[in-house]
Amino acid sequence: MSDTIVSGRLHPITPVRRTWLFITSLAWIAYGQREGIADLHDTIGYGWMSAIAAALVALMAAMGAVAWLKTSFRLTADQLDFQSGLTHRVHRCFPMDQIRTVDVSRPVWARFIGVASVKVSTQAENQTIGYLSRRDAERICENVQRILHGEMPDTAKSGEGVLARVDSRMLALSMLLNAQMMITLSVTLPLALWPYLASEEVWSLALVLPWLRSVWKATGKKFPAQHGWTVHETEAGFQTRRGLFNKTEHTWQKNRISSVTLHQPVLWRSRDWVQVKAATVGYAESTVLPVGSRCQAEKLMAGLLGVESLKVLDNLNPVPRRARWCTPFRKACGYTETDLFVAGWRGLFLRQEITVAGTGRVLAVETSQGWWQRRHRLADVNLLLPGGPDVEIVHRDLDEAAMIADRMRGRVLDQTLQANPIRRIRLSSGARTAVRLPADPKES
Amino acid sequence: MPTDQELLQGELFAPRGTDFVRCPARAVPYWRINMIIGNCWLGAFIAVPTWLIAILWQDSTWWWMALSAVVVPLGVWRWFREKTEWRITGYYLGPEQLWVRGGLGDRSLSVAAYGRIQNCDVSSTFWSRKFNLATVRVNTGARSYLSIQSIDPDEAARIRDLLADVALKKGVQL
Repeated sequence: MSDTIVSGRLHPITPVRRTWLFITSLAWIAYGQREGIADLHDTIGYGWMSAIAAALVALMAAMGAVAWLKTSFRLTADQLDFQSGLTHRVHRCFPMDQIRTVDVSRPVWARFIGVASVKVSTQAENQTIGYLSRRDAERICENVQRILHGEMPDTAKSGEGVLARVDSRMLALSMLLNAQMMITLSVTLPLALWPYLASEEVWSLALVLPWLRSVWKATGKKFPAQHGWTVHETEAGFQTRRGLFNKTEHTWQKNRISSVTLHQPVLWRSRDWVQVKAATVGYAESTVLPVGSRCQAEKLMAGLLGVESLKVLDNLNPVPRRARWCTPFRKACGYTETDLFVAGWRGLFLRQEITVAGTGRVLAVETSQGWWQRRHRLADVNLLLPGGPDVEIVHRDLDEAAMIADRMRGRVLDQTLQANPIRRIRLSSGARTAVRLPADPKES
Repeated sequence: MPTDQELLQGELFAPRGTDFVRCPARAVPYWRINMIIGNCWLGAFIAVPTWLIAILWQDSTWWWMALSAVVVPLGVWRWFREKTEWRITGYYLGPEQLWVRGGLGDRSLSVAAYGRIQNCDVSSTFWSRKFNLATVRVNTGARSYLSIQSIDPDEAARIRDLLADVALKKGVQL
């Protein structure tokens, strides 16, 4: 079997395009039966009618989403495959020796939303595959034409330098497995519906709107923004590309990273999925990978901070047993330290966070102790980083915290004294400006 | 009364080789005034909503007033503890690092190398000017600042100039 050159799903706008006729028909029928609907309104009231309408819309949306998940395409050196259908499954296969031409079509409205369709012309028929993202459509067209001309397909383009790719299913599942979000929405829904249930006034349903907004922000808004997330390795460092409608790219320069945070919500633990965030000056804690396997996360961390940084993910120093009086998540707290890196482990409500930073990036060391910690002879050590999240070493024994703080202060001071100072030059007007001393004398 | 060593938990908040400078004694009445103002706001924050709830429920009892009176014992306790805070609060300008200590319930000790200082500024509020006090805020580029609180304004200006000068000579890239 040949290797896959391009594969994926149709653009998520496709179900909407396909169901517009169905929705229009329903609206037309509803208009025709308006007297019957008026009678129904008298019988069951606005509340139930709205609920039925909402359920119908939700059902259609769900069917569209499932149908979209079942639709896929795959291009190999031998053929172009296309599978679709929810109940009536269709598998179309276009052998390469049967394809005459292949074109990309972009109608006006498709151009407006950034999609395209691929028209495949064979000796027997013309078939349209759509809608695809513009990039996928162009890659299919380009590679089919290469194969038809006897050239090698451009497989390198699709896979070269890609460190991680988040597929839509994994992304959607990771959002649904966000326990914090699910609990918040479950608790706030009865609160939003309570005024309506108590008063049975239709206008009080307006209070559900903020709840719907929260649902949208937590799922619907996030999904297209993070759709198609890929992490590429570039000469400068890493580049993340994402977005369904608005394409966004961000480049992470390796030598500018101040910390990397591995974030794991409680419901991801069985799958060992991890979210990777990184911080640089002025760009505090942004997502590098929204969801990925532990292996992918470690690979990214090794790329961003260096292979040495992986050592701090092992040999966790746990907090003392008496820390259970200060936190219910004692077992998730801890810290690890090597000569070059330090990591703070924090177990928060329904999630665990590990923040890793190079000791050379630490700006200041802060020791803190609350009154309750003082009763249990515990203290925190915070390592302040440029702009980003701090490495928090929490609930350590008093003497141990003093030793950690002392060691960190010494290490930070040594690295500050060893770093290249900023050389100031005096201008003729008397004002001073800063010039970075080059590391290599040859540069000057 | 606990000794300074007991109060500062040994090495944790008073590492060897450091000699912290306390703020002037007039900082204590200044903190007390701040505390009273803060407690009045807290009392109002509790009283207004509870009073509105009492009106809505047509409740003629004075439970809401009792609830907001919680701030009174809190204020009395804090009044007598300000002196302890004064014993803890201080700063130390070491040969290569700035050390700042403070807090009563939540204590902290922040240390930054001079080379990491990005900028420092002096500020004073209406009440602090009445007590002839000022605050120096030192920024290292991290999210939180190092604050040398309630010191003499001349001393604050001297520290600001000193830190600006030493940061200029020893400053390194972030």
